[in-house]
Amino acid sequence: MAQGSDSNDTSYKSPSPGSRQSSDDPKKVMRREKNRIAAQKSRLRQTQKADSLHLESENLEKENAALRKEVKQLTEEAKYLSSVLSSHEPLCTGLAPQTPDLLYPPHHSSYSTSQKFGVYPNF
Amino acid sequence: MVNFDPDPADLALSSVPGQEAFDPRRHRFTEDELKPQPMIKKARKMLVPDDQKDEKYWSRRVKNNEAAKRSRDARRLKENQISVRAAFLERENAALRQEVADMRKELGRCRNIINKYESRHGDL
Repeated sequence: MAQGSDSNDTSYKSPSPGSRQSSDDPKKVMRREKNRIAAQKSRLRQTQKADSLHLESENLEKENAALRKEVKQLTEEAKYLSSVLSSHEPLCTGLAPQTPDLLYPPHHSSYSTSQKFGVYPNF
Repeated sequence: MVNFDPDPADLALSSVPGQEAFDPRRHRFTEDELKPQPMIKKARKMLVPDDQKDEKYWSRRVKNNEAAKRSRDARRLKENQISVRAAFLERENAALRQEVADMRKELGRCRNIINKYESRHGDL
């Protein structure tokens, strides 16, 4: 939908010999022309900067949404595992004195059970 | 919650004085607002001789100048808001990525333990 910006009819015209009015003083005309080009450049830079910022912003929003979704899914999985373990705990047959090596491998002297996902059976 | 303290100057430039301060956490931009801006064709410069610059002319000029200023200000404000929110999202996304990595690692540990148990004592 981008359209052209400013009107482009103010190009330099050669001065008429003799009179030096503001409209055809070559110095003034030159300066105005230079300013016109500079302004055009500046506006172009501004829109390019804005467009690039908008694009970046859009990507960040998408990434943000995807990450939140992922966190939600992982949380669901953690809840599920936690509930599986809780319902298993009363029935557990693995709690024999001979099998502490699942959570307490022989080479570890101490082992901190994670509190992150809530319920863990205490082996 | 991610710690985000925007530069107070940036925040001021993103907020409308009469309304509540801009909150990068909650503010959402519509798709339209973020699409590349359509460029408006500027009208040709009509040089008006001084003797024709009557009251009507000047009242129109003043109105247009004020409208142009409002338009520029609104645009600047919007760009600042987008910029602040983008900075916030970068921080939040980095934190979220870390959280995802931590959770995956932890879940991997758990599933590993459960598998070891199940290989010995049957399914939970």
